[in-house]
Amino acid sequence: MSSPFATLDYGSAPVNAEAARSFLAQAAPQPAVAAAQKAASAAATAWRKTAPALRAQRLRALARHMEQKAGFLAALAALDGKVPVASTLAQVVPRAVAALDHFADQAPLLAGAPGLAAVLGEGAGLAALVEAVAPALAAGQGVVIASAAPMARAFAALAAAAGLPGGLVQTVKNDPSTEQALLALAAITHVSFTGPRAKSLALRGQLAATGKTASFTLSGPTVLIVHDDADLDAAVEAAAHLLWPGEGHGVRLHVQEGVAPRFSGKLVNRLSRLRLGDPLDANTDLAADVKPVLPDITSFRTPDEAVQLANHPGDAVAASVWSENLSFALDTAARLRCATVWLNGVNHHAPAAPAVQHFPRPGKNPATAEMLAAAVKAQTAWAALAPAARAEKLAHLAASLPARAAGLAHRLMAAGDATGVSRRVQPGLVFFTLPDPQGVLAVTPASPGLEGLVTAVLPALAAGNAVLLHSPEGAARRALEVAAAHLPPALISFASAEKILADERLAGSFAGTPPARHKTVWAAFGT
Amino acid sequence: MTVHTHDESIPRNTGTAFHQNWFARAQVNAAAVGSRVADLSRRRIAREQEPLWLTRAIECMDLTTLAGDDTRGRVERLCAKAMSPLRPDLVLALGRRDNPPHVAAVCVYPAMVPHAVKALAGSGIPVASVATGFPAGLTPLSARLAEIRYAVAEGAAEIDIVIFREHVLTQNWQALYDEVAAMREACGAAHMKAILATGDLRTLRNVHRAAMVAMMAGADVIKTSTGKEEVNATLPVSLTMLRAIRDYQALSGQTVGFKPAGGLRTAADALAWLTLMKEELGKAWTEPDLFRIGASSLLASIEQRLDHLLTGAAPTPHRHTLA
Repeated sequence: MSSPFATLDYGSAPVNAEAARSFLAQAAPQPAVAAAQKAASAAATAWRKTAPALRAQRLRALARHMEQKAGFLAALAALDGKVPVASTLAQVVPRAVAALDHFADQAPLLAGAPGLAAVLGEGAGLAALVEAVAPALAAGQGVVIASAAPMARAFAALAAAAGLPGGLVQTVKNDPSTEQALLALAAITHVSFTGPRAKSLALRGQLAATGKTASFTLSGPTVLIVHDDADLDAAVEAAAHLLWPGEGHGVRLHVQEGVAPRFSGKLVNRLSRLRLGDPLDANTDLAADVKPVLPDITSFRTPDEAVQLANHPGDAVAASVWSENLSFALDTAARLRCATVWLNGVNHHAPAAPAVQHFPRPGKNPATAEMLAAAVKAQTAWAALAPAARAEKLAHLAASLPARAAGLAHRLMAAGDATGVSRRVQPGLVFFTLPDPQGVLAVTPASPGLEGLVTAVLPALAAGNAVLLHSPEGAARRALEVAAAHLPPALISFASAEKILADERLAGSFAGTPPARHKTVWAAFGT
Repeated sequence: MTVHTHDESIPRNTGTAFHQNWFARAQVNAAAVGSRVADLSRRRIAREQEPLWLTRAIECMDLTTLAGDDTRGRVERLCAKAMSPLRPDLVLALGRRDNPPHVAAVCVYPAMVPHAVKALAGSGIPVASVATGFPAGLTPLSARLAEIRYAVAEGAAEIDIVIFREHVLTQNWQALYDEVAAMREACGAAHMKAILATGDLRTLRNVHRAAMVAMMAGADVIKTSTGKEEVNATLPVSLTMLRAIRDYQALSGQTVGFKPAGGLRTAADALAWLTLMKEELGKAWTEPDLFRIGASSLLASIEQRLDHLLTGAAPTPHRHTLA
């Protein structure tokens, strides 16, 4: 007997796309780099002189304006990129708004920065774009966005409409010659890049000699790790979210072998329940002509193997870890090599959670390839030590230094332990940061004396890094060399030659004290 | 009037042997359940579709009175409302003149079953009776089973039993299975809805495990609440039970229905639960064979909303017959 009841249907619930359509139909002449720079610089001069509290007010006004225009932005993303409107409304716009509000709060605390920021990296989406632009605007800079995407143009238009000085946010083309022309401009003092690791490395090498500051948000796949004691339905839901198109860059699925068949069955069932349709419809999960690619599930046997699989290749930028066992979950989080780990959750973001790698003042890379290879080996063993064991060895180093430098070394080590943030974002959701060794760092001390050297080296070593120190021969360097005799060989390498080395094994080059890097761990909880 | 009978294409759940490994290691992450519920709350039902959905909610409703002051007259009035839940002009506006909608069942205490059976005679609407020492379920097992047999003998076609919460709170799963299986046997041909009283169980993991045991013991429907606990039906609890229904189906090949009860008061609540059923389990679970809503005040809210949608009237309680 067949059912006498009709199927319940949601009906059509499209957002109003008229404004987005006419915006896309408008001709969009991209100004030349020189013209864009001139206009942005003129606007930035006034913007930098604006009182920080007033800049904050304007940024908040822009945030409110974006909220009001959320429907327009969602329609634009749907028409231009086939992103379902529900995703823009529920995730992207709130994330962009949170970034503007956060950096508005920060504006009075930031030292004003001169010049312009260049925002590079195509295809990063509205949220990543605003996260890159907001800190520059808060610091009083103008912005040149190298992007041909309508979303970038729409953002520039919203900024002007919300009362930021006209021309402060510029967009130019995103081809390689435009990019090079931008990087060559003296007016560009900061470069913010979102993109793959390989390109960020090349850019880092290029920027090293210019004195421009830089920040990198790496893009890459997200790893989903499902332990055998996970809530499988919840993990499947997370996988479905990662497979939906949006701002992600692919997903790798690692599932414990004993539960892999059930996970796979549930995932196939879940994907079959996705609603395909018009991306402008509020009930569409996926544009009808966009097929989610179901990646292979790689199974693992033990938690150790899960971590090894996730860390190879090391291109993952985030991980979503599923286990109801606190010990498994935290241990996995601590050992994953990626900037963000979500425990029993996925796609949480907060502007206060560090996901960006900052290079305040790029330094020189004074090393040979042989020195670098030795340093990499030394660093791997050093980072595997417990922080307390590292501190004990560094205390020996400090004890061998003259009194003033020794006192400084102890203070730096203590301060290194105290960094990090934790926040309750909402009931049942917190994040905290774990110090994360970066690898081998090239460091150019801010001052040539022993205290300058200690300031440059100690925090980096305490955090588990190895250091290539660019320091000319002299008494200070000799004193540090003697004191460091207790340390594993090659943990500090001294070099006087200046060689620019864009080598993947080099985690970064810095002038002064390298900033600590943290991994953000999100934990969702409830009964 | 059309007579609703149980769809024979969906066989009754016969139950299975007790399998501890079907549920002992299953986990429920409450935060993730909350995220999924939040995702589902973003579904939008177009205005022109809404009357169909609200009518379906009525057709899935177990119209209920479970109060100490219930009388024959009160039950008769409820039964009259069950047979004609909507004003005639609304039935016409819905295009349902030839098969006017009625509720799925009337749910009463055992002593009221004879009155309800008489009042509903010929309507095709079954009488559901709570039993087994409702709501706490703490009378002796022999008394609880006798109560089921009494209600069935008086003509109840559906029995809403309550589980013994202590068995869940002390993880005494075999005892829970044995009791529910005995209740199912006492029900005979009557369909059994097992009330988990999720507000007493507190954790979603307990809810999932209790649901699996009740289904293995032969429940035709699993039901959230008596309506008398501190917390009644919630969307996270419901989602957890629907996932258990899916797991049980995958393991046993058998189909079980779902009934949220208590706490569904507004037309918007009814739409939220129907959306949950549609998204998580599909079409068959948006129909009265596999989906029931236990409610007493919900109908009034749905009538007012339908009145507004179909005639443009302001939501006014006195425009409709009292249940």
